[in-house]
Amino acid sequence: MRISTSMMNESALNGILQDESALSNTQNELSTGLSINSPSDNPVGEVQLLQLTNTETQYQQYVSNGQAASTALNLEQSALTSATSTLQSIQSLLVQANSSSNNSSDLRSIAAQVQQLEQQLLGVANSQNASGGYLFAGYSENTQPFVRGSSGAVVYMGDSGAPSATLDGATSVQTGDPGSAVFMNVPTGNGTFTTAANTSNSGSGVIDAGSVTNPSQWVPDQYTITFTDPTDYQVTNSAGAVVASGTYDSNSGGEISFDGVEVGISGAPAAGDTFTIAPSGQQSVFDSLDSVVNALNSAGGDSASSAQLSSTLAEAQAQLSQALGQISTVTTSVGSRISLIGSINTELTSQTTTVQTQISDLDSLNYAAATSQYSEQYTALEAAEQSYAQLAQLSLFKYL
Amino acid sequence: MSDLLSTSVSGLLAFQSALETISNNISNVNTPGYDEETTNLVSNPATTGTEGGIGNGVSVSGVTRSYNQFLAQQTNSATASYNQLNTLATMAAQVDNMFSDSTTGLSATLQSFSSAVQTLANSPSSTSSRQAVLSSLQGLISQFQSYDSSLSQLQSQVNGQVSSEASAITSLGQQIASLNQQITAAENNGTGQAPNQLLDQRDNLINQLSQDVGVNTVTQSDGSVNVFIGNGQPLVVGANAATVTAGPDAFDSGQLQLSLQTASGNIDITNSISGGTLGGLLQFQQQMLTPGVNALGQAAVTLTNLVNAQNQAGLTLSGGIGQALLAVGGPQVLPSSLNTGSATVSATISDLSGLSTSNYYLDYNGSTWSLIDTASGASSTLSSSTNGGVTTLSGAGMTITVNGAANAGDQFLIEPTANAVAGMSLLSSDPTQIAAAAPLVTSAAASNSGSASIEDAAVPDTSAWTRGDYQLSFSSPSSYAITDASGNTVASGSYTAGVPIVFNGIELTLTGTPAAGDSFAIDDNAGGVGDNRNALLLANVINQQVLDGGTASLSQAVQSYVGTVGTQTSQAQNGATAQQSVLNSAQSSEQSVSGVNLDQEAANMLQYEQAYQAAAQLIQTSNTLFSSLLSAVDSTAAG
Repeated sequence: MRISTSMMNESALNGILQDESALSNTQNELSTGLSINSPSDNPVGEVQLLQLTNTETQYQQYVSNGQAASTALNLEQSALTSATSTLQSIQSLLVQANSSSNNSSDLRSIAAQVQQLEQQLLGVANSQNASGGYLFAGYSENTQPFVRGSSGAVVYMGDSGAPSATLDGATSVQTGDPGSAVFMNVPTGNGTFTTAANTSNSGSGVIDAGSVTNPSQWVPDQYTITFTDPTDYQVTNSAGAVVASGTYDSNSGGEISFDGVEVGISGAPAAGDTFTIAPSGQQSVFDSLDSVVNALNSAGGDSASSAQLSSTLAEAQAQLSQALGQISTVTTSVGSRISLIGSINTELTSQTTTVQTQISDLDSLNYAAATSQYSEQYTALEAAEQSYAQLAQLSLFKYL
Repeated sequence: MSDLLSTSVSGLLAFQSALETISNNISNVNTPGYDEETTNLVSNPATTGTEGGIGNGVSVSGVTRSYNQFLAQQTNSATASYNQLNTLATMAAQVDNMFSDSTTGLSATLQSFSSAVQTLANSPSSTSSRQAVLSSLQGLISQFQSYDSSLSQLQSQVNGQVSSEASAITSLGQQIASLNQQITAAENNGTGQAPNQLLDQRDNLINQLSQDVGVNTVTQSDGSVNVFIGNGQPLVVGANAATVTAGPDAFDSGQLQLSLQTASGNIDITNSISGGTLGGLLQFQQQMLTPGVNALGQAAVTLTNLVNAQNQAGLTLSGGIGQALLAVGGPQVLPSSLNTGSATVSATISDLSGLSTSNYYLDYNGSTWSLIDTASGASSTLSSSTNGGVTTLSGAGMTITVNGAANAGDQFLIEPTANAVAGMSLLSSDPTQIAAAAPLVTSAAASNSGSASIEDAAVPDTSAWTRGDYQLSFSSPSSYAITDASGNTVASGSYTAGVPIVFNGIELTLTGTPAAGDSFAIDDNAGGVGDNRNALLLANVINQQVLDGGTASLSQAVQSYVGTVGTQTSQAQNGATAQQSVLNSAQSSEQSVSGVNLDQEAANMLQYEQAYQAAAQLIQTSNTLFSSLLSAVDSTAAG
């Protein structure tokens, strides 16, 4: 094809300009180290990149959520540990109190110690975190959860809320437990029923907290054990019907069984003495301690009232075991939540690495390929420039 | 003998003309639009005589230019296509660059808002983490507005260029019309010679016009060329040129309307223009700019609605019901200046899932209204109800209210989200106003013996909620009563498993079976400063599938918009590169016919120089012959 002189110049120039533009793009990639410098470089990759960047940010946020939850749960766990040891100290004081060698002033001194420990427990229940929020107040973390009301009893002012944290797309974890589930609502007695000695008993019979031998036979009701004489008893239910009767022998353990439960009576009950067995209700650990302190303070010196105190202390020990059990359940749950956070965060860290690899695969420059592309383009530009310079020299006029 | 002399002289004159043409070709080697010219030589007819037909030399019949109309038109059309795509690619690259950093863009900022809310959820009563959420909302607003203002700067740039293109086209049209007049006069002056320079000039002007806008040309028998733009709208007819003006459209929407002012009236050519820089600008405006502004607006409206709705569903740090945190611009309704009726129209956004990134024409045909997408022309479903002279229309995610009487043919332009970002602001600078807590806290009485528990206690609409502490008690497994804090019964009924209990704006969902005597406390969570339930929901609003009929989340919509910008830019760039090759090849073809090649001119020059020397030599020969004859006569006389 015939080529006009101006076209020859123009197309040579166009070629050089295109080579320069391609070279400049490659140079830009090399200087940023990115293969996607604007969305048009790879629209599909850019959308993936935006999603992956957000995923990475979200994973980092999940890790930080887990760390915040972990801090809160560790604080709760140490409060629960301290509550447990306080209750255990009270338990050993009660064992000490349940001894015939104590006179009433000994008992009052023990009562004072129990009261002191109860105050300490109340402090633990009102623990605050670094920013002043109460740990056991539920959602109402600015409200002191446990206060002594006008009646003298400790009342719960918090709510039943339990904040949670999102650990990953599918898992969230409770970051606190309301005080009502820790210190309040402890089942009374042994958890199934409570036992008590009648305050007007004249004998020295002491009832223990009892146990359940066959839960399926237990019929929740108010039962009364009445001693018709020091060696014979009968058990009546609330309707007055006799459900069991027998001979009492304190030397063979004094066990009385009926309806799948068993209670032990020791000492020497007098004729007409009664003991009551009632289905468990719920009571706060503070109410239980208050009644123990009361019983210790008001204990008389005679054998009947000593027996009365022993029955109360046996019952109180059972209730403290229930409270310890409840706190231990919460502690275990907190521990397993902390370890769940740990394992999820480990998982998240490895997933974050995967996402970072994907991001780098998408937008990081393949330096080997880009460098080789750069030198190809450089060579092409050099050749275009040299050939143009030579072509421009060619003219028939030179030979005229 | 005299024939020999005159024949030689005719050759000298002809070769001189040919050399002059060659000299003109060489001089114009770099002149744009110049077509190579050739001197046409014809041999003079023989004098009839006894010797037979001996010719009488050569004469110049004219100078013709090497011009191929088909190739010229091909070049013009390739020029128009290339300029359109190149303009589109250049403009698109500016939008593309706005989204170049994937770690600081809108998508990342939305995610960091979510992160800030999650951090707040980790310590709901912390004022500093609440402040961080407000700051991140403020950051989002600034970013939306920065993108929006970049796009509106591009719109001003487009408007400025469209105006200058309009005047350039008008000016070129006038020059072509004036050349038409001169060419017609020159071609009909009886010499039969083509006015090559005028023709070259006119062809060059038409090629320049092709850079601005796509053209069609028709050559008339008198030598003039009629030029049409758009869908055959006449820019130049003979010696008359029309004016192209850019002015506000009938809705005064901020986009320019192009009109062609001809003798027979004004024609709106905005939507029929294609090709050239002007075509590229209009395509950019229609495909990227308007949808871009609307897509940002859609995201802003979505964010505002979701954040506000979630905040209004919860309780603030001070225990009050959450309020709207963000404000956003509403739909813009512009009446046509041509409307004859008295109807006024307003619109609000009512359904995010139906909201699009299009603008709409609301047309009245005398009995019914229709909603038409301005870009695609597609009609949207519109449901209509009239009550007391007020017509309410619902469609495209909007509720449109028409007051007053419209006449047939009345038209309104509705831009659902174009003004959204401009109207964005943070309504509260008080960090306590973020509603992190849920409205209710419930608990089961410790003495409950049934298996029932409250699965969910919700307040679907906090404005219909009567606040207070309530107690739900079951007198039997199937009958319940709700009492307020003073013990008054506010609701009672029979309980069916799975059916929520609804009272005073509260909705309770229970699982399990209640026993007689069971009770539950449903308390106002006003003191729940440690509650993060609403904050957790707020952190997740960007992932709620609310857009495009409930198939896309805000986050996805923003990402896919960036993807669309990338795709459109890369398509425009690839198209421009491809069209560049087409243009180069068309120009080569045209130049291979019309262009000047200096080597060829050198060869021609040598050829004519030699011929000229030969003809000059013949005059010398003729002189020698004549001298020989004279000396022969002299010697005869002397002899």
